Amino acid sequence: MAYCDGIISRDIEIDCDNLLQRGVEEIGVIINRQDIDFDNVEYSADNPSIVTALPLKAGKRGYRVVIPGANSFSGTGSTLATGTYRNTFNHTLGMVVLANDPDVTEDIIDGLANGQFVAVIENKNKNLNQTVATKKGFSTFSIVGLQQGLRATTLEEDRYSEETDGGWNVVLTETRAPKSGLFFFNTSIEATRTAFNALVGESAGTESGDGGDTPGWVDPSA
Amino acid sequence: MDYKQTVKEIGDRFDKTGTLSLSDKQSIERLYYLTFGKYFTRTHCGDCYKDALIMIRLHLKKGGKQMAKSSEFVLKRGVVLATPGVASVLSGRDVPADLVVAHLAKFPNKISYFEEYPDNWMKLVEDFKNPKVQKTEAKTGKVDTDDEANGGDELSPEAAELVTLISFDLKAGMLKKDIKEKYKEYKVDGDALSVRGLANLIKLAEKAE
Repeated sequence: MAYCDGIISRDIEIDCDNLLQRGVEEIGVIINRQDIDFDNVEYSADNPSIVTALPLKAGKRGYRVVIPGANSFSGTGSTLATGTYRNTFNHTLGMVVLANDPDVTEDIIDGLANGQFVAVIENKNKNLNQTVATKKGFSTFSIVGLQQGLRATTLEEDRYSEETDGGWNVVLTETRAPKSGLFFFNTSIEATRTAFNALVGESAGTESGDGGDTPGWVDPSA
Repeated sequence: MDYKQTVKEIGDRFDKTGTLSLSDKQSIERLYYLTFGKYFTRTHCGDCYKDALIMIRLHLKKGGKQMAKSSEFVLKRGVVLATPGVASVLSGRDVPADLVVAHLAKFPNKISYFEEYPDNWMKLVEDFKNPKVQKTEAKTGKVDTDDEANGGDELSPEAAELVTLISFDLKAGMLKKDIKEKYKEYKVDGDALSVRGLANLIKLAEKAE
């Protein structure tokens, strides 16, 4: 049996070329955890904190989460969870659902209440100025919930809320995850963004929400 | 159940009840994708599914069909095929079969990344790794590309030697018409080389370059 990870192996210092940037971009993806093809999830051989492939089961898709504003996904972070023999991490994902109607309660809120989820979010801290080419942008996407699953710990609506205007405030938490953080990166930031977009069905290079056009297909409605 | 039948059944149910069940909605998402080649997106509109169903039914009524696939290979969401040293990144349905086969030849276990793929994918990979040697009968100039019928016969030593000579000429920058002129009187295995036989040997030499 190995002694796994009770050491550090790197200087703790500031990277002057890649100064840390706070915050998360406005668009993320949330996936029903049961839709992930865990048999084929792959991690980097060099760094097990990097997920190189996050395949979904056939016919399944992720769902976009768009949180506008200066502090998108506010409340997202990690804390230490002390254990008797081994310490782990609790990861939280904060978000708001700025809508409240029968479709929202049926399709989103009721599901969030009892399901388990995995989220992929885009950090503002991307490490784009890395000198090692294969690491350029490797901190762009974070994955939360892949280890233990995100579960709802807060689901509240306040009709007079100044912040949500009567929408839903949501906090999803992954408890006792062994890794302090997981990142999603494969080969390059462009390739990873393609995979990120593919989670919700967008083709590479498209930014529209209609799924994008795939070469060889004709949209008769156009 | 086939595509048209599914559309008809859901449409009939909707006409009778005026509502769509959850499974119907899921089917409509799939049908929309099969019809228009892009993913159905809900944007909090109350009639998204009904509208989608109407669009699909109208498409069929106008004689439209299920869209043909652009490739037999369809990647699972959340993965890309990125071959080291190759700039292109493949994702979703935008995956030309020849590039996929080339990738699978190097990384065959990556077939698990695909949610759809042809049954004969292993044969395609094998064919890619071992290009068929065209059976060239230099004497008659006949070329048979049906390897299964002919066992992919190799060239005779004389023909192979001639391919090597032609290859040298090509590398030296000689034009094909000049090569044809140069070797038109050649004999292989005792028989004169036909025009077609020589053309095929030139093709083989080009591949060998």
